[in-house]
Amino acid sequence: MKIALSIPCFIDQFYPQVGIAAVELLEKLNIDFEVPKNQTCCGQPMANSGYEDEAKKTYHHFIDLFKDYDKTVMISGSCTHHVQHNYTNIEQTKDVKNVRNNIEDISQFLLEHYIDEIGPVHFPHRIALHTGCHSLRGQRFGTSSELVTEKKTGLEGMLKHVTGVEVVPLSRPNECCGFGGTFSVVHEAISIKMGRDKLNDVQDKKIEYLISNDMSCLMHLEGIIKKENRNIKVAHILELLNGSIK
Amino acid sequence: MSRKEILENIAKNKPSGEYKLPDLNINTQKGKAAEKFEGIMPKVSAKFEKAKDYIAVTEVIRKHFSGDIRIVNLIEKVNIQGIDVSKLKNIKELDLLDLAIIKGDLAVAENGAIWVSDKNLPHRILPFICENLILVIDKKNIVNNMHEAYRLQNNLDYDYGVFIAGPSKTADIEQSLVVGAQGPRNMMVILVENQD
Amino acid sequence: MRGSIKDNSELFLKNEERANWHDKALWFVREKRDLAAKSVPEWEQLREKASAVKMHTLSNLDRYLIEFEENAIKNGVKVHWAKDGKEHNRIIEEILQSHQVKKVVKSKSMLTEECHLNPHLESKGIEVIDTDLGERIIQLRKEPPSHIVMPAIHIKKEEVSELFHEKWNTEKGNNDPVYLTYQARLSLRKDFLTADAAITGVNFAVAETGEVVVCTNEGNADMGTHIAPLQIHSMGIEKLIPKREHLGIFTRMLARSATGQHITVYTSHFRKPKKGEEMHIVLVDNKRSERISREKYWTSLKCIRCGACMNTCPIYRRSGGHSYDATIPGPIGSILAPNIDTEKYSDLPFASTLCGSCSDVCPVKINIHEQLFFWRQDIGRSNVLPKSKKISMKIMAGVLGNPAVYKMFGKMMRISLKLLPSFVFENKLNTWAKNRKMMEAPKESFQEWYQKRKK
Ligand code: SF4
Repeated sequence: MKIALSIPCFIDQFYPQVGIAAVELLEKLNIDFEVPKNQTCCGQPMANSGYEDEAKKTYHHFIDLFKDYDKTVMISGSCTHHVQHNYTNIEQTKDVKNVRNNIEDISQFLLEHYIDEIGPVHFPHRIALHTGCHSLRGQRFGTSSELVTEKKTGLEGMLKHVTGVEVVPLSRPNECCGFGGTFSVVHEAISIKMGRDKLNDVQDKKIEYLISNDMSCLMHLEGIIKKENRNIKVAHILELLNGSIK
Repeated sequence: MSRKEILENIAKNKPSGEYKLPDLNINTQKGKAAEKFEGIMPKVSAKFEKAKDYIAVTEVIRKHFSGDIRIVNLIEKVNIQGIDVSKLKNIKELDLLDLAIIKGDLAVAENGAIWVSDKNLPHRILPFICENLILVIDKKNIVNNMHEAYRLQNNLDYDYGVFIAGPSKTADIEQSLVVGAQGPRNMMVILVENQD
Repeated sequence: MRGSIKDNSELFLKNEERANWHDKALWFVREKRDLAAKSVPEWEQLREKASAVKMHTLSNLDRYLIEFEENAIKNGVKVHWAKDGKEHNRIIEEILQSHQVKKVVKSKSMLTEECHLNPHLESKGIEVIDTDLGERIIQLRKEPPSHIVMPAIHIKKEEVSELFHEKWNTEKGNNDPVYLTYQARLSLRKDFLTADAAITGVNFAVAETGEVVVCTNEGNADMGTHIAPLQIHSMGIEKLIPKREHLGIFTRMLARSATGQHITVYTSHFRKPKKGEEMHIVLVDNKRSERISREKYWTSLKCIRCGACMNTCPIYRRSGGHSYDATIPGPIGSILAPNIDTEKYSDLPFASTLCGSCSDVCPVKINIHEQLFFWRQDIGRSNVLPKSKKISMKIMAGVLGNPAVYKMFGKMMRISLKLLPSFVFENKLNTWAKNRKMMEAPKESFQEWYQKRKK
């Protein structure tokens, strides 16, 4: 199986350590993969702003990069979701279908196939988990609190071989963090309020680390944490599993 | 005419795909209907009493309501004298009626709702305009859920009918539950155990 | 002029304590909904069935409307058809005038809000009393509802107390909801006893029997219709369902979704007029027959107006319903309003993180967050967004569509992040960094690290 690792633009530019954790983890698991050169973005920022037509060029570029792989693992549930659900305004060629059908968020991919080969990792901290909304409700990585179905394992399942960790449930299960891509700027006031509300809850519960499978949520939350000098750390689940949280 | 225009528009615009009416096979919870019904009464803020027969029903009511009060009793088997509604000149005279005693045709275990229809109601306003409402229901007429209720009611003929689940309520002021909004301020359900 | 949700919500959030209170009140309702839904293990199956019944009905709506009308007429009901709000108001006015009606009691109906019935009737000298407590409160305050199920959810009990004191001379400073509710009861009882006609909204209309079903907790729809000699029910044509047995599905979900009750206190079925009196049903289109043609949006007509999508929405809870400045606020309002006037409401579909909680909570499975995304595209394609935005999108598209430019741009960004004193970046140039610290620029991008390492 030919596997490609896809790195979203903001991780490439601002959070290389998450990409590095992904590479190191995949190597430890002896998974054969490539990181195609010249990756840019999935085009979600434009489409979410109402300009999916302007994003077409980006979509084609993305498809070109990944069309020859059997599987694309992406370090973002949100970008994965975008490719799966919203690449609808370009011609649905064999290549496009291939990429859309075979793209998967790396967390989900690891949970499904490799979770017993990861770890043990010792992480003696109080943490809270935040599953990105697109992973949760778009890819059903876990079960959203609205549904009345049997609970499916998601992010918490990835801690299977993590020792010493104490997971503290948040007061409002899977309430959105407020990032929402361009929403974070267009509706800055609400976005910040949502972020602060979540962080207040985290702080009240004396949680040390907020762990997510979606770095974009954390980018937004970390911005608030640092601005307000809050005593909370954020990290991607891959960093935790790779043992590379600094 | 708007009727024609609207219907033509719909005919022209409605989705062309075939959307079948689903079957109503739903995996509902069944059993222990009477216990469930009783259990839900406090949740709908209704008082609950059991009586073995209609003589006992009369006793229960007398125990709770006595003195000089205005009553409308619509159940023949309940031996309580009240206002003769057929002699009313205007239903507005019923304002501030102290008590109405009415027979429910069926009751629903999952939510405590009791079906009252104008088969048993000389005036539709009666279960609403009274300050206190007593609904009497035979144990054999408790069904598990709304699906069963509607299936049964299919055989019932009515011009007006209502499911009533407790006294009237509101939470419109800061989400605080207040019992006694526009309708009855208290409601009691009496379950008759012996079926006749 | 309509205010934008951005400006309105910013204003709303200025009073943080109040915003927190609003958010908590609604989250509390969401929690009650969760408990109620979870008491029904077959909940998801009900959602499936409810959605399917609605889709079936909508795709055969003309047929079911004719069947409904036939049966209603057989029941002795007078049926009217209104193509828009204006015609709806005119029909109601005519019915009322022909009975010399001076005073109407009305129970909750979002449709009459949509048609602006109250101001119309008032301009004709007919007094309209809204009888739902929440609606009465906002009517006295001369405000529109801020929520479709809890119209006065934005108002504090102290304010209700003030209002009642001013209007009805109730005890000053008594903020007890029990006391206040009782005072409203006394006042409304007088209205019920003196009204010449009653108007209600409709939750469901059954084609098979020609009956309409109205759900309330207060009993106000029944108090109104059973006392007044004339009763009128206004309904949007999408309220139809084929058979009585389908009511089982919807009555099991409506109240559980709306307030977390297992059923509303009253679920009233009106089939025939009271003896010797009149019952009218007004079927209102108001662009619904047009909306039904829109491939991506027609399923929004499935909505049963439970309000659950509002209670769950993190944006709604922190903006308040009035911030939407639309008849129906919240997630469902944001996909309905652009159907009516795309330009006027073009900001609403953007007031969302697309988190999808609305779609998962919706009892009839409307894909609300997907429709929000579709609307963004339709609005982006039209000419209603500012030009400057389109240009910046073009630039972004240029950068992201071209790896070489992207690399250069990314490097520039990281360098400028490093070199510029942070206050320049954070204060002048960047909304992102108004309340967030800018991302720290790493030495090298992931790609740079990876390429170096491979060598
Ligand atoms: S869209 Fe769904 S959740 Fe929202 S009000 Fe309508 S039925 Fe309820």
